[in-house]
Amino acid sequence: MTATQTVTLSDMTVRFGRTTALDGVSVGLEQGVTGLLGPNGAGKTTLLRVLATALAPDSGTVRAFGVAAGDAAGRLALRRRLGYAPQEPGFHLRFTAFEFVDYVAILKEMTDRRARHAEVRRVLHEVGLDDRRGSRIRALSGGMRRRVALAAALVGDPDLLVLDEPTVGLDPEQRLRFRETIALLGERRSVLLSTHQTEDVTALCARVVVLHGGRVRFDGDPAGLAAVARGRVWTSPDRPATALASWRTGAGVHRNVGTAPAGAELVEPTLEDGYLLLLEDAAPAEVAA
Amino acid sequence: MRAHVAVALLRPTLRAVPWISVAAGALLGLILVAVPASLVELEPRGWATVLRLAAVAGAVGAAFLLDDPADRTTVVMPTPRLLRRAVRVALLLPLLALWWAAALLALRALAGAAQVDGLPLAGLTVEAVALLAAAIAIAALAGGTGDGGVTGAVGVLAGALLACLPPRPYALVLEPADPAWDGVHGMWALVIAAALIAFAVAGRDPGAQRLTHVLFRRPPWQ
Amino acid sequence: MSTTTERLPPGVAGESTANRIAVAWAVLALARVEVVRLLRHPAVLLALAAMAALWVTLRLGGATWTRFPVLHEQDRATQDLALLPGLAALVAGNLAVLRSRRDGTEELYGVLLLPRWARTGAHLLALLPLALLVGAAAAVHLAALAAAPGAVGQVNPWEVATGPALVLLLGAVGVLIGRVVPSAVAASLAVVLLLLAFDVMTSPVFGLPGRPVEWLTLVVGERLGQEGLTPDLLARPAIWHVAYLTGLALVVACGTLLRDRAPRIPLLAALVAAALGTVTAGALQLRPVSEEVRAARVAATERPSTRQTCETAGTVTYCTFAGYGAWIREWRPVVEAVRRLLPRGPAERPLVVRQRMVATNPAPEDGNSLAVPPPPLAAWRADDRAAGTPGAVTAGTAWGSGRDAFGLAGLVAHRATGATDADDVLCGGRAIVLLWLAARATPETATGFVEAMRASGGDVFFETAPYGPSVHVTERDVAVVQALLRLPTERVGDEIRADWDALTAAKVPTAKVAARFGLSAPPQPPKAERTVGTEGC
Repeated sequence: MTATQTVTLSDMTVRFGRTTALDGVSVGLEQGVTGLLGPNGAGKTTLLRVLATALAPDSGTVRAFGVAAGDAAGRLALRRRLGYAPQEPGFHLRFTAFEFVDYVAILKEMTDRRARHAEVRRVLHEVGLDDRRGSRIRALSGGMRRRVALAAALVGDPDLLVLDEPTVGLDPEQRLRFRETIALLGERRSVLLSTHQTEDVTALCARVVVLHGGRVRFDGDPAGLAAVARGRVWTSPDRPATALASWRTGAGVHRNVGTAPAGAELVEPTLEDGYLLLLEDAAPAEVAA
Repeated sequence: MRAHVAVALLRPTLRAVPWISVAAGALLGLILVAVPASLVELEPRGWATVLRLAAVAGAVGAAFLLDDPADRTTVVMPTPRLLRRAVRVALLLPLLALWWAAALLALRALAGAAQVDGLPLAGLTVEAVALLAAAIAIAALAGGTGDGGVTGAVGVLAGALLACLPPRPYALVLEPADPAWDGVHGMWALVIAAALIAFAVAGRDPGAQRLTHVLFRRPPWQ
Repeated sequence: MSTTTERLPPGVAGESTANRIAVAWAVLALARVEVVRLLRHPAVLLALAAMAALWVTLRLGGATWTRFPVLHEQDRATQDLALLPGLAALVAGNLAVLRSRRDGTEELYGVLLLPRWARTGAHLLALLPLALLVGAAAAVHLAALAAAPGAVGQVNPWEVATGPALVLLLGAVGVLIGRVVPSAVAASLAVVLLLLAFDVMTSPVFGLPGRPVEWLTLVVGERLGQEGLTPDLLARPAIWHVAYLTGLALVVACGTLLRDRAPRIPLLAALVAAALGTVTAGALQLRPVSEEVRAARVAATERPSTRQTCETAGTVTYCTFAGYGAWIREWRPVVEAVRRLLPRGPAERPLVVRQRMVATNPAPEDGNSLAVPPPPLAAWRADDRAAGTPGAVTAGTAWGSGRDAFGLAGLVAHRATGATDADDVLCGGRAIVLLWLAARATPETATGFVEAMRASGGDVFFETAPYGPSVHVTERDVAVVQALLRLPTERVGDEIRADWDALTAAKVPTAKVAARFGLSAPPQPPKAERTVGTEGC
């Protein structure tokens, strides 16, 4: 564990029956926003749940803020500084947004009513639900409900934020606002968010971890992930046979990712290209294993 | 700290509990007692059956007490799940006591003291408590999100029906005049104890000790 | 209630036959999925397992009715257990219907091509395999019973069909509740209500059992005083009851479908037809027992010889009602064992064992106290004389327990010792010899003797006729018999045979008999407590 790491998972293994969801995963989180990428079934949600102490691993350790989270006392200490938004949040539909976040605040041991109400108002303002805080959750749209879940995670000013696919269902404007909020939070806290939207990672994350088949395939900054694809992204007038992925862009040429033929017109790779090639490189190893 | 949290939770929990289902069961229980009491005269074993059916109705409604759609979000709070559930049960207990007392009083008032005085009300109350505890325990074990209530309701119904099946030496449901009455109610008290233990086990921190956790959940698909 | 429009655009809607066929196929496919889910539901599995477990454990425990089953009573008994899977079908069917509402898919399903009523229809169709399964299980159970060598009587298939009809009805009710009440608590509460209703209807307090109105309920048990009837005298309107239950199920099903806006005309017609059928079947089952059957019951009770066939084995003739012939094989060992212990004279005297029953017609309007009238002893004697079998020993229409064997042995010994029908208390030599003969005959009769003692706390009673007078032997004589049974059989048997006439004369004192065998008789109870009829013993 380096000096700047706030939360460390070491050698995390989680098995469900015969499926290995996480296989010896070691990840360290620092202050700032870390993105978690990976295909479906890679173990992202499992990793997040272990970190959020919703799930106990078969082996491995979680250390957060200097305390081991393996025993009950450590878990309690971690939970007091944790904000968690699960992939499918459940609500009490009859509660208003304010009441629900207030309820969660009570569960986070904020027993002073006045301070608690002020805090709830604050987080609802941060997620942009000021004017809807009196509406019943039943009456809110999917995107707004996600924001309520985010507010519930933010209440109490946690030092560690664990967000599982928080931008699903948000329109572009909402997603921008979300990035603003998270970026602001990341300045003082550790945030781990899993997402399918690589633009979020590019825009927000100082660090990105790629999970595939229960193992960490990449752990570094977004630029590094994009660099994986350097020299392997090119354009051509027609669809080539050797490309992994190829599509016709709006400009009329084909953008190809894969093994570039000699003399091809290379272009600057994006994070997605790197991600794609990373998984592809890992795949033969999987088949062999 | 926990005590403060428990007190502060009272109001939101009061609003979060699906009272309609609970009340439906309680109401049916009262009707099941009141209607025969005002219409007919029964022997003690007839009244015992009426009270037992009312207890089953109440238990079926009470099984929905623990249904908590926000369970997934609130499971990792510093406040343990057992405390949240205990607050719900604590809210319910005085209401249940009032309901059972009301049922007994209604029986006495409508059917007449003569018919009711011979009944072993203590034993029947033990059975009612056991049914309620079993329903809530099964609901707790089945999980909090949505299926808990239904599982608890069907489970306690099945349990009550099965309890009537065993023949003489193993019978759990006896007529009031039966000499084995007191002994059998020792068994019912055991049921209450087992239900309490199950409730405590079901409220365990899911972050601790994986094995039972695996038995009750499917692996989540990312 | 769904808020999306159910009406498909014209031209696509059910006007075309091709579309109707497509809907039908879709319903069948959906029904297949629902069947699997229904049969897999824990409540249904539990109910079926409980049914099977009960039958199996009772068989393994060697209950009387598994070794000597009376098939026309056992077929009715399968209906009681069918309630369990019926209630499970109610709950499971209800939950299946509620699934789309609970999981939030109702809105999605509402805009798909298959209309809501078709989905409901699939849920209803899914009940059929479960009903058939329950029927098949009952059939297998009855077949296993019928395979027993001691099985008598015949199975009425309509009684067996009542169980499946019940499952259909309860399942349909569960589906209806699911469409009407969106909460999951409703089905469970409905089950509680049904349990109360069932209890109310079977309890004698409410005056239903015995009255024809009882047939409007779900399961009609055996009426008091109508156990042990031969199948032709039962006159249970089983076929109408099955039609009634099935009709009710159809009414509920059509009602639910109509509520989900199924095509009006065909379903309304079906509903009306089903309702008419239900009412007709319901009324038909309420008809009182026909005069023919009533007369037959009287004839069977008072003049059994006119309806029986007889079989002779040596000097003993056995006369049974039709279908009960298999039990002659069981009676013979008992009767012959007793006769072997008798001295030559009485042992070779011809004996007739005649099966008799009391097939009364229950008193009208008197639901609560279905008193069975006493057996017509005078008529039986007249009947015996007419058939040329005076002094026939009565055998009943139930068999299997030790007490049944002991009872038969006792009656044979009773006849042999010269006791008459008028004696309701026996004491002294006659009683002791009679009991010893009966208890010694076979191991089953010995068990029956012990059971008889236990049942009356030391005395022994055994019936001389079904629902008829019993012969009472007091504790004192029973104690002597017990002591006699501990002595070697050969010795006691020889001495009884040697002194037969002296021992079986009327009023031989107990003390004398005891002393004869070197035993001591217990003292006589004080005068005030002595049973009437034991003077002089």
